[in-house]
Amino acid sequence: MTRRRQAITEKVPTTPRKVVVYTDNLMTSNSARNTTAQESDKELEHALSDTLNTALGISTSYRFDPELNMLEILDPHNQRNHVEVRGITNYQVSVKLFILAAAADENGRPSPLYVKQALTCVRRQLGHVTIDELFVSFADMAAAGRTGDEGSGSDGVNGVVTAQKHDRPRAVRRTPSGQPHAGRSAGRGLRDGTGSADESSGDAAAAAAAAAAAAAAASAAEDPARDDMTRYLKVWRMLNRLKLDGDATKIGVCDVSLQQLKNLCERSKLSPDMVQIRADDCQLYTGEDEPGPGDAGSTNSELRAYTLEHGISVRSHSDAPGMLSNATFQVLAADYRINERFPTTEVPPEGYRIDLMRPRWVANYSVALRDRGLVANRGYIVMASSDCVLDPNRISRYGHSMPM
Amino acid sequence: MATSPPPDAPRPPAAPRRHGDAPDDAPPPPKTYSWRELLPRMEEIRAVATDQFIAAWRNPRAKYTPVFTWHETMGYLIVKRDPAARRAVLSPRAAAVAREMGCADPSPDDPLLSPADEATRTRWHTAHACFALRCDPPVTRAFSFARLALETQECLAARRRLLKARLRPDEMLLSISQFPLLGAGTYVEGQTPPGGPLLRSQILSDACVDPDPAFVLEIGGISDRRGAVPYTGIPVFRDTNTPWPFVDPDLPASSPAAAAAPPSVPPPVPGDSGRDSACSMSNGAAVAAAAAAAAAVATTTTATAAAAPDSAAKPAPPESSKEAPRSATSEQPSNRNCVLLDSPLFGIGSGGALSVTMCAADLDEARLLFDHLAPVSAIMMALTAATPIVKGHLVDRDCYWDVRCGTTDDRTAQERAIAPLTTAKGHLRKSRFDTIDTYIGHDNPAAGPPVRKQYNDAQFSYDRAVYWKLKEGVGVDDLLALHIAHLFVRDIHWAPERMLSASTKSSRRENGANGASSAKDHHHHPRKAADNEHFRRLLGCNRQNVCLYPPNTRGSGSGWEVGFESLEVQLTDAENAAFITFIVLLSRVIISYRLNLYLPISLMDQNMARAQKVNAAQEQLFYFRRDLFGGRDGKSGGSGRISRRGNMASLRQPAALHASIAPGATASKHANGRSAGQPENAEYVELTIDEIFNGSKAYGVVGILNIIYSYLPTMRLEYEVEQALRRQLNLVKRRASGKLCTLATWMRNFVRCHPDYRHDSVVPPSTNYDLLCAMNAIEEGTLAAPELLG
Repeated sequence: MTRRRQAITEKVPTTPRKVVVYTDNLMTSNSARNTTAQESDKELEHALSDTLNTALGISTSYRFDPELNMLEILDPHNQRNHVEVRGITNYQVSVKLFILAAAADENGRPSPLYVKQALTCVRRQLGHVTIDELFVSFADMAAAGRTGDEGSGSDGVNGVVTAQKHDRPRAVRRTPSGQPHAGRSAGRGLRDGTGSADESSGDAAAAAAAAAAAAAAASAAEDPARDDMTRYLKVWRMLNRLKLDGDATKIGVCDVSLQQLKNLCERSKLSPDMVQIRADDCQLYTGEDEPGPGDAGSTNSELRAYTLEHGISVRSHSDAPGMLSNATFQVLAADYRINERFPTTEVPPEGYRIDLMRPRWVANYSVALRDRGLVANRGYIVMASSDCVLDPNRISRYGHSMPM
Repeated sequence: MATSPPPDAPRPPAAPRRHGDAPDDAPPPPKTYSWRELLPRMEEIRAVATDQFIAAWRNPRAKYTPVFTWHETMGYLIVKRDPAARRAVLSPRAAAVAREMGCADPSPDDPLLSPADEATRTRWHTAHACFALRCDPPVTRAFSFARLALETQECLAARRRLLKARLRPDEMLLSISQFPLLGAGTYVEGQTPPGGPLLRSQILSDACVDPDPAFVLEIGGISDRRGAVPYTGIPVFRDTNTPWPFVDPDLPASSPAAAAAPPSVPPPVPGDSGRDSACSMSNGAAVAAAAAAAAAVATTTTATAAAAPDSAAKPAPPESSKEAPRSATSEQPSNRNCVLLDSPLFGIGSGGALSVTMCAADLDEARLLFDHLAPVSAIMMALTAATPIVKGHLVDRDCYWDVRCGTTDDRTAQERAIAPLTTAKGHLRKSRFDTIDTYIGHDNPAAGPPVRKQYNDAQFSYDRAVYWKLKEGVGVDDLLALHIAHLFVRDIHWAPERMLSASTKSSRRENGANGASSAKDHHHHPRKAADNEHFRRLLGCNRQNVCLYPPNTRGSGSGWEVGFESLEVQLTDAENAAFITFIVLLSRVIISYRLNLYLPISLMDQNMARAQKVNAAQEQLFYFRRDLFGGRDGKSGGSGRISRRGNMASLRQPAALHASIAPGATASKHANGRSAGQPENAEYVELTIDEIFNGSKAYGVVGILNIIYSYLPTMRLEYEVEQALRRQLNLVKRRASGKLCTLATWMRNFVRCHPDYRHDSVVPPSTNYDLLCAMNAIEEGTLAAPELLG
């Protein structure tokens, strides 16, 4: 037993396989016609499948990027650095970064490195631009952001959970329960202290994602856990660093409640420039003159009073609560055989196997000419990576062969 | 639509001078030439205008206008109510009010005025009729979402408040397309008997017209050029007690169709009793006038010969409404069951108006907008329909378009193909106020979908001299040269002295408008070519559903402009702001997504005819493109670009949906009836307005509003701004989906439910009074109209 534990700790499982997918410019691509309001998740799904089809099925538009150590799948129609502004400089780049559930480590803390990574990818797409508006959206908050109907709101999150269970039925069956793994890796995470996602152990991440999802589902009930923004502090500080470095002009956070916003401000001592909240159609359509006579409206108005006081601008969005669920991604990956086509060269450590890829973040960028009200370019960048997870089969084989 | 500006007047941005100033000016008033006086020199004017177009075309081609600006033009009527007599008449004070408000000194070009500031500097304009006025903002507004969402309505409202402050207590300010009783009974204060020298109309009193020579000459010029009064018939709405066949009591019985009608049917006398007999033309008088007219020998006259002064009284075969094929001249046009109108004043400058003008970055973008806004115009017209009553009768139309096109039609007999073609430049199928005849495409393939030959399926005549000069002499591309040459077929109806001083005073008649000599003239007068008055005036002669205007050179300047002209003005500022917002956002979306809205011209014209039918917004089907997204070259049209999943999904879904709606009674009939003749992959499908705006899964149509809804979040708008925009769009959405009715439907219902209305299609003055008072109350917010405004 002691040997096994050593085997685990001596070789830190990193995320061995990373893929980043750049979609086409959605303003001109065919996937635009699948776009409907309120369904940005569907739009992303269409765009992604469109891109994978063209890049992998029809042509071969991918390459390994040694700098970032990731595989880059680029829509063949996507003209890089193609900011269609005809020599005009007053365009505005805005990026909304969705930190997905799988990005969180065992404590539900997403790694700040993802932000850095996203910035690099956006710049690869658009050239060396300053991001005028950078929003960050955390999966569980986005899911919880839809108040009112609990059932439909947490769909995306539930999807993640079930998919994970479905992916690894053996792991669930072999181990008495998910708890031992989670508990142990949580302990390791504590020991490591600053556990970035790159060094988060595979199984732990999965369990943590599940935990985060569970927390998100449960969070509607218990306020303190939901309002505690400690888990996002690192990401938030990273955003602020980008702002200080001049990479982003304004930063914002999405779908926060008033308590969460207060909590975030007082913990980080950094207040956002913008807050983005969901503009629900029902709310718009019922309230004729005064927006939102209902509950959501009142909480919104409190939030808006607070933001007005602190000079935070309130933006609206209508993105879906669950942007890219793991299940969706796995279906796409299976369709285009991503896992089989790009087998990793890395050898997992003893007792581990390299898991399927899971999407970590999605960046939605747009280049707009505000003065003219035009959108020149808009697209998604999706990053997925796989973890090393404990492989129960190999563990048992290992364990079996031990006496020899 | 009564388009606001006097159509021949220069466009607002280029008009530092106001018509209103003319009479008050210094003692020697500038000499103004009438159409007949201009006729010998029309080719000179045309040549100067051509040069001006070339100058404009050459100049801003390289220029790029970085800021998008837009402005709207709105018009109002002033109505005087008489509560004791329960009668509402037009108040001829509008022109005076407009002059009184004046035009603030050309304001410094500050595109960021607050709504109140902007309202005080509004540019007020008189219209042809003295009871109407129109206005536009002092500067073209710099676009921003916040201002569009939050300030548009406020601007309109502030302006209306200013106007209202000038009204007398018994007057009402209404933004409606036409006064319902115009031409029936007593309709204007100080009414004189019809047939006056200014209008030469048997229906309208001279008290209606603003005696400014520009207006009078234009109205006279239309009749002169046509060689006859432009009779227009609008089919009457058949109610339960309407005498059938219906004969308009106002017009001579000798007009061909009236003669064709059974003589046993007398003009409906009961209708007359409800009117003021003093001013309505008695039957005997009409017959006498008709007899006198019939005495004149009806010869087929050439364009120049037709310009005899007495020929204006000759009854001409009235133009049939647009229902009948316009090119068909073999069958006698019939005014049977129609309300007849005989004065251009019905069509221009006699009512409220709403047009939105957008400034494009460059000519290519303007051409893109021009092309893709044109197919939308019919649909927007149906959605804003507001004219169910013409000349005191409920008519079988909801829109103003036909009235406007018909009554301002100045085509000569030759151009209408009822006389042999000798001097005219060709047959013209459409009036000068009608839909466009050609898409003009654009040069930049990256900017949007290319225009294809089959879209331009209309035949039209054009001025060959202008065309060859543009095409061969200067190198303007074919479609744009055709478009301009087509516009230049028309004549202007009046001109001030200064327009003629530009060209040589020699009496040399340039019949062929040979480009060389006039170009030489132009080089002698380079200053005159710089301002493009001639060009704008000729443009103004063609008020089509979309218009292309040259860049204005005032202030900071702008790019080429595209005007959207088919909106009917709405009652309240909230509605007007909503439709303005919609059009402006639509233009943004068209450019951003490179939408492809092309529809063959013939189908667009059919849409235009359908849009005017009663309750077209809910009951008519319109041709529309199934797939609005152009995609890029090589990507559209199933080149494997659409993924397998997408294909499967799209194959599965419609079938399932069709099956599911099959049991439904109306829906299935609808669907089956429509899909019968249409292949599954048809480029155009017939859709209801609801489907066009809100999308339809059964037809695989996305819906214009859904595209806008998916465009809005991309701009990451402020919460309030987006909410305000969505609230405005929501009004359009509910109109389209039929949850709210159009003003025309509301008015029709009001009249038909009114106790004084006898279901004979005649709107009595008391009903009119109650109708207008109710509309005024709705506008002021004292009367709720949930079916109209939600």
